[in-house]
Amino acid sequence: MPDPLLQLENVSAGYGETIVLENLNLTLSEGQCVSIIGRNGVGKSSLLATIMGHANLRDGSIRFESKDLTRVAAYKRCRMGIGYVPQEREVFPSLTVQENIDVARQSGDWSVEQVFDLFPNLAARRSNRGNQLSGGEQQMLAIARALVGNPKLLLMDEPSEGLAPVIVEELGEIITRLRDEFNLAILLVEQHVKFALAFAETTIVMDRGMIVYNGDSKALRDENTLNQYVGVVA
Amino acid sequence: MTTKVYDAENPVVFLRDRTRWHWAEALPWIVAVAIFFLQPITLNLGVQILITIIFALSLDLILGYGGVVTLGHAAYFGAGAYVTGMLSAHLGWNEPISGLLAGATVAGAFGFATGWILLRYHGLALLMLTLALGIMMAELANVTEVWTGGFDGLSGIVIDPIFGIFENDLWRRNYYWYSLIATFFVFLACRRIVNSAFGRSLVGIRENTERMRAIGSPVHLRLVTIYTISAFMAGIAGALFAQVNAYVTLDVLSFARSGTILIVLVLGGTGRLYGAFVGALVYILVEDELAKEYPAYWELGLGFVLVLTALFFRQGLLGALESFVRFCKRLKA
Repeated sequence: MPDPLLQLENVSAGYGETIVLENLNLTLSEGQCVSIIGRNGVGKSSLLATIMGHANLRDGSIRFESKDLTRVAAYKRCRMGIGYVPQEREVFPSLTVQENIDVARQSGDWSVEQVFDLFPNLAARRSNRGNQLSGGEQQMLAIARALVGNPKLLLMDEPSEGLAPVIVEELGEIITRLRDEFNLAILLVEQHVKFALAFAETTIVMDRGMIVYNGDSKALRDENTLNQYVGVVA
Repeated sequence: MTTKVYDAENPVVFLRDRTRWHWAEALPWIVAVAIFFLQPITLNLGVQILITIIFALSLDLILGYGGVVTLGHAAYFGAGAYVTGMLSAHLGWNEPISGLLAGATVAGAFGFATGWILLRYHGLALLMLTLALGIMMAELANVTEVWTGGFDGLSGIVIDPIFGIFENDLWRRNYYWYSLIATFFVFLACRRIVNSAFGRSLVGIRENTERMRAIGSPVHLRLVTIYTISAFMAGIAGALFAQVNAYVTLDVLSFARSGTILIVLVLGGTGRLYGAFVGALVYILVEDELAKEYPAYWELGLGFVLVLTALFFRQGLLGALESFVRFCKRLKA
């Protein structure tokens, strides 16, 4: 059996003195997609931040391609192949679309043109500044910027948050294309439960910093089961 | 509004397009050359302005692009000035261009060594550390009197004619050109840097450091790199200062000099390069005029100008001009 792409063992992490994640175990194989759902404030975003090195790992270990990430700086994790699309998008407001992408480019399979093929809206707005884009375009730019870093694993933190339904639909199609066509492992944190369950075969439910369910997404499509773990059906 | 669409796949083409020279960029250089022939201001004052421009450009690289706020940039200006001065006064190294490069190189190396440590900090801690660096350098220069002349200043600097021909004459005719050419090369280097992918990544660091780390950018290394280049350029300004005046005092390392250059840059507008030109020109001319008209109160008048700028032109004078041009264009449209 091949080594997992990402492996978290007994991970406890947080910010400063505060512990947000407790005793977490998670394994992700190459090309595997997993959705993470749960109520607000249960540690979903903190989990991605911990993998990325933005939160303090207090206990346990994180391995990526069998390499221990404990003492690896955030920028090196990205260069190792972990891409991160943050919840707040955080595009650089005074850089143009092209420049936002250029500053993130790493050598690898993803070319700028390939990214623009995936996001034709961005191609047409190459010379527009980040702060001139709509929320949906900023989200696309955030994904595009992560892709040109040539990740093997893409961490996506609530990409549909705050977007109009029509944009969410468009974005959903793109994320699905990433799953189907590019053999990318994706860890998707998502509030839209129906989309999250449809997106990945495996879903993780988090509650109070712990994983309370890690298994088949289909089982959660039953409303009662979902209620049991999440409490709220979106 | 029309959106410009770029066909080129290669980002180099995109960057080249955005670095194309605009005709308006020739203006400061035409004015600088015209000043030599028309001399509306003395060339001595012109040389001071040019040195201040180089120093302000060096600060703009780290402050305007890298977002590093410092109160100790005079440390590198002073390092360049003292090294060039001491090479001449103690070792007889009087050749101007190599002396200037030697001063700048030592300042750059000093910038690298200090930047490696300083840039691990940010915010108030960085501000205090840079302030402390400037004070420590001034004190170091004070106690190493044998080399620096201490409180009395470093005298005995004799600079050979440039290329063995052009002397540092009383009217600064030759040194005006020398300083202008140095300014032009420093500006070219700055322009090249800020328009490169590296320069764009500095803007990214200024706007969101954590995000730059998350997209794989070695933030500390990049900041140290630009800090070193900035210190090298500040060293050029300091070395020029020493060569022009043939005298260096502790003032080159003072907090006042670090503060003044910060004011000059903020006055002109940070993150624009040309803000350094506007700030230096306005600051020195206003300072000169006020000092002539009101010898006892000129600093009060200068303070008033700065307060007005801070209140009404927060993007600096150049930023205000840009806003005005945009406003006119909107009216026209």
